[in-house]
Amino acid sequence: MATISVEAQTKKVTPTKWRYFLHSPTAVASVSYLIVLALIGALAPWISPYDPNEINLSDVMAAPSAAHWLGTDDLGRDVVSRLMAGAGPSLFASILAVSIGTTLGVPIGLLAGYVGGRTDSSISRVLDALLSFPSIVFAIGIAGVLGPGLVNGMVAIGILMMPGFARLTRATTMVVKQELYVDAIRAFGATPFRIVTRHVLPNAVQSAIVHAGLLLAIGLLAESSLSYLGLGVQPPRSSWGGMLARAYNYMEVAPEQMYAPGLAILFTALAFNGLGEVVRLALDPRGPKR
Amino acid sequence: MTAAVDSIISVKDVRVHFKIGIRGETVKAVDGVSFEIAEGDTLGIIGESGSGKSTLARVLVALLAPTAGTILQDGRNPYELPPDERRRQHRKFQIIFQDPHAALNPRAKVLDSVREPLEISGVGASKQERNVMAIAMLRRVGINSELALRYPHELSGGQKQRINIARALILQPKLLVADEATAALDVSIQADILNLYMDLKEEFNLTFVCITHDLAVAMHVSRAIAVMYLGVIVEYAPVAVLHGHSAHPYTRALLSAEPVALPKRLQTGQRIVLQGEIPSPVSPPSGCRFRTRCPIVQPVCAERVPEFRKLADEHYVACHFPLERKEVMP
Amino acid sequence: MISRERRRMIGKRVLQVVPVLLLVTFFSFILVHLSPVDPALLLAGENPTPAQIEEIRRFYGFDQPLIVQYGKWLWNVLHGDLSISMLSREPVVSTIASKFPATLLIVVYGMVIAVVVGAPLGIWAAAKPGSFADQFATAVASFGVAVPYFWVGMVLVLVLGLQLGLFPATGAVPFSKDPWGAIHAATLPAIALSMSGIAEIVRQLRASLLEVLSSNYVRTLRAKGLPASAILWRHGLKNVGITLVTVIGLVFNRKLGATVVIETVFAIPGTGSAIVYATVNKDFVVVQGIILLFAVIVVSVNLLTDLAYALLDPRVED
Repeated sequence: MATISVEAQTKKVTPTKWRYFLHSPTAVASVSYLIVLALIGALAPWISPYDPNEINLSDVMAAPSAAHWLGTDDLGRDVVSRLMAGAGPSLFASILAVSIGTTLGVPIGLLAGYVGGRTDSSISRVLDALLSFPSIVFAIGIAGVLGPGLVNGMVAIGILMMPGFARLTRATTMVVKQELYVDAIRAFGATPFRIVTRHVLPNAVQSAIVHAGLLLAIGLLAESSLSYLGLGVQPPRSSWGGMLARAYNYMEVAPEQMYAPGLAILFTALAFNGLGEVVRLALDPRGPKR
Repeated sequence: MTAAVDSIISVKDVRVHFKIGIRGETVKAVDGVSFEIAEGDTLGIIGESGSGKSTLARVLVALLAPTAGTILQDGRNPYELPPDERRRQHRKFQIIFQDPHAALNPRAKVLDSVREPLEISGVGASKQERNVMAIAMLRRVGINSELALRYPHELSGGQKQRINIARALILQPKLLVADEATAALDVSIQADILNLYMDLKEEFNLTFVCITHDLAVAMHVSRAIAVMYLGVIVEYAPVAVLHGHSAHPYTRALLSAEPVALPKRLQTGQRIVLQGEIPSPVSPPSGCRFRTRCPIVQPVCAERVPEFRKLADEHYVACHFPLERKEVMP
Repeated sequence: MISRERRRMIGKRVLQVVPVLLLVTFFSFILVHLSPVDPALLLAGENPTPAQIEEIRRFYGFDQPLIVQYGKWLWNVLHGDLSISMLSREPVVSTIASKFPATLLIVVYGMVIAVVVGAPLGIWAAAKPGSFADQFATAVASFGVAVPYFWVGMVLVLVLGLQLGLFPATGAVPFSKDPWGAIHAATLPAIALSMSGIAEIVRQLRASLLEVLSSNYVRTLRAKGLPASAILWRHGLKNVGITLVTVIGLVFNRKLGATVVIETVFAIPGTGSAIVYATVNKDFVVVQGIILLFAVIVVSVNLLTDLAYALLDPRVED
């Protein structure tokens, strides 16, 4: 048996990834914020100070006070409670849209990239066509046809996210399928299915994951736009976009109502983007690079 | 060459042409190659880079379909088999690639990579059993079990090549092709790996094809050698014969550059340096491809392609003016 | 002079548009028919009699096979006929024609703002990496992408419109009647629209310029003693120009989509608010027409951008 005494020592694996994470303030802030928000969204029915739908016409448009930390809206509903109640749908909406985009887009990208040829060209044409529709417009169209509602709207958004994922996955698949280890495993008589799922997919999906992280914020903004227009979350359920719409109507009377939901959307979107950055850095084996 | 009954590989007039570029130029990587490999033999295929030897290697294990000509593995043409039978046949004819790093899935642990062929062919009753077999094979090539759970990027080139060997042999193939098996490795490790190949060949009863540009390695390891130039075989002979009586000018030039390969009494003391560079495989020279660098070129060499014909028992050459034993080239 | 290589690229690219356009028109067409409810019923409005429903069905041709309907519809579209709205009784084409200019104004205006603000910021950031300028630009980019642009619009209306009275809070002035008034009225919506555009332009320009500045080619020039500013101007900006051209198309398309919400915020009578209104009131032909319009514009803008890139790409030898 050949001895390996002259072999180079194997390199040690250091847990550097965790160190980068903990040292990056944006990473920590984003993830903590999102965790807290998720908890609020899940526990809202139990921890919110008031029933978000409780109408109290004797106390409309109240200024912030000890009883109502952010005041009340035009129907006397407590703003803080409505904010909390809106967290859940917002998070759910973004995650739903991105999930649809990924689960549809990645397999299609794999197929187009791996098989190539006519299949690839036809798929790419369809993707190009879908990419030509501005997403909100398309979602509105769907809402008009199928009826407004959060799920319909986000499914439409998800479908429109699909081509982006498909394109990305297709590009990385085309690179990966040229790799030597794909040839090596073909030499053992592996079926194409096995090759794609076990070898191509894990190596090609990275860019899609990063994209997913970035798209969460887009999904959130899309949901708030739809809800603002009245085509997303339907009243009386509360949503941040819907709150903005109502507050806008009463802007001249109580302008400060506009700030809370808007800032909520802004901070959550920032947190999503921060998360996307974290994911990107974590998956990049070369370490943080500007 | 006659088809021997126990030919494990039979290659007939195989050509592999690639289309490149926008204007549809063809690279004639392999341009008419025929030979047989007997079971249990060790064949060395040598040539410069651009000779088409790596392409031929892939054809031998059915990773690349020839543009023309046929290949028979164990008497059967893999491209005439139904897909699942073709896949099953794959397992008996394995290849080790030149780049040990790129041949392993970076996201799979070493153990998983070596175990995978077993999973694909359904050997072993459970994952446990397959793991045991994989670890045994790894130990056999000199990788101890604590490295089995590492990822490829944590290991050195030599270790990775051993892992590739373990993976290739775990299904006990009949034929193993080593494409530049040691080129990417440190000189200090090359000898180790070569010895490993030799041991394993004996132990597993392999037919071994060693593809390399390194004449010394080929002659040390093989029983017979095929010399390739620009997509064709120019000479085929057992090593012993080649030592004393190489007939093709190209072979002579290669041998002269490796003084160690020739016993002292046959060294003429002259190094034959070939002029020029290897021509482009897109448009090889007319007639004999080697004529642009051949020291003994004649006008007829540009007009007619030399036939690959038998010179003596198991000695074939493609040249209009094959050299005699004692002949020395200018 | 355009080389043959480039001409081939361009020709190929133009040809690729045709199948995409066909698919786009098909998707626009199919939208109405996705409804689980009979489209004739939807279009009929309140309490229709069976006779009315039948009349609608025949008028719109719903009783024919889908392919035939698509063919007829496409034929009409190519002849400039987008059918007639059930609600307004006006031809869709004239509705769109009257409303689109207002939309186009704020989109173009928003583009201009995005470039004027974003380009210098991106370039400045790349010229001094790691400095305050760089960090500021990165912050702006992060903000621009995360902020809900329609909320920005609302805040602008509140502060600059109502409280400070600098700009009209709502509505639009027709450009043809009063160009300066129109631009003045369009300023707040354009600013709101420009948010993500600024972010995108800053990011892309900064990245592309950084790449050029740190490339080996430029490094050797620096080593030879060329001052940094000369390098910046000659090599960097050419690259920047190309990047800008490619980003502009993307930014324009995004803004076009965003008009839907912005026009609602600012009560601008453009195609954006028209499609929202039509959706809520189930006026499908209008929805269909506007979706088609937007999609065709996006495809055209993408084509123009690709062509511009093909013409300017330094990698293709002329």
